[in-house]
Amino acid sequence: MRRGLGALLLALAFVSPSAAQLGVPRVAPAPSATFTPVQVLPMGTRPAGPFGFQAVNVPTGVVGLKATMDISEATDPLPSIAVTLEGSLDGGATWMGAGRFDNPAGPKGNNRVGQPKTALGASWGGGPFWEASTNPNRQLRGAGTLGATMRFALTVTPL
Amino acid sequence: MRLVLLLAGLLLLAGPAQAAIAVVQAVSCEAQGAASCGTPPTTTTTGNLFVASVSFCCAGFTSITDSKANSYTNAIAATFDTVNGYVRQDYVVGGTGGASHTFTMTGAAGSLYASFSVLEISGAATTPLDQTAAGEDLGTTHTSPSTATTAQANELLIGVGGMANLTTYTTNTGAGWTERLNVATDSDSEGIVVGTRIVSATGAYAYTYSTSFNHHSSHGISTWKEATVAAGVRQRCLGCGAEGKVIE
Repeated sequence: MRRGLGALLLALAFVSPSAAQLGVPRVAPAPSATFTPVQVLPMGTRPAGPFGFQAVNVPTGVVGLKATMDISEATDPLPSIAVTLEGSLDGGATWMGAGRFDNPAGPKGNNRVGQPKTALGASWGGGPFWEASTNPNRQLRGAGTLGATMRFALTVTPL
Repeated sequence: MRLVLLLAGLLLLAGPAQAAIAVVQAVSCEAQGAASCGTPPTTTTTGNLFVASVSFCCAGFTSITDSKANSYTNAIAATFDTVNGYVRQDYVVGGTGGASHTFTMTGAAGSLYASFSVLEISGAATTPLDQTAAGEDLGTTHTSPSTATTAQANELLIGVGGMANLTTYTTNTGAGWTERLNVATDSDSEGIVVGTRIVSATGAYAYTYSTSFNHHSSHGISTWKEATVAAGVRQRCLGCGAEGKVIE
């Protein structure tokens, strides 16, 4: 009580610190709308090595992303897969990381209901790019590496 | 008048000072059939506490690592929901932070479905972990086991829940909890719900949340002590000018 009153009196004597200085949590707001998935790479057979998709605009209100590889037409076992997303807050002038996922070479495995897996990927949230949900200039692009030839499509779904 | 307020405030503040414990930020990723996922990069502060909460299914969990080479310690061991889902928590005290800090969750290849949240926390004690409790129950309202009585009044509670069946989650925010991450369990994701609460009294605490599906859910709660400065420490007078008069 005594310390609380003391703190209050000090606060009255000086300018209050900002919310950032007090460590107010920066938590991404809940999504306010449903966003349409975007197929950034159509189904196709791609050789070993790098692949990528060009920048797409990210609507305001988006606070995260789900990236899904359709591997239903890929042979089993899968090659190694590495995918990295990058985001821009300034319309493509500069870029920052926005998430990544990896899968080593090996059997496709099963999905959550025990059936042969037809998709794999990841979702992300938080960090300066996904928390800038009011920024109208955001863009997203992706790059990946395949350990061997693989047939797949890639879809991103804003959250 | 300002001088009077200043003097009165300083006198009343004499004694142990505390750095308020607080959640600075949260980042997350969910692996959907991929063996690992990495969170978006963010800027963190060296010396802060990092607590990772994980919900996973269908393949083994391997590790949590980060781009600053921090070593994670287990706070809540993997807790099974009697079906095929688990939750766990791991942490780093006084971690190395900085720009472009990413966190990576890795599990067994093939069928890993897992959700992962990392909270950065400021103002934690140098040995912050106090109490933990974990378990599972059946229903649509889930309550973790209560912790033992906490060691000090000012602590941060972190709760985690997960269910392997298709469901949505809702934290019981009416009990003073703030929801930090909420990912539904669906055909592609092993969902998770993470909540935090700051308490100012010792006690035994539990984490409560609801699920849309009536089934087994695993959950856990950890409590983290706020940093306290020892009484009698020479302190600097803030706002007393460039030289800063020292008071005791």
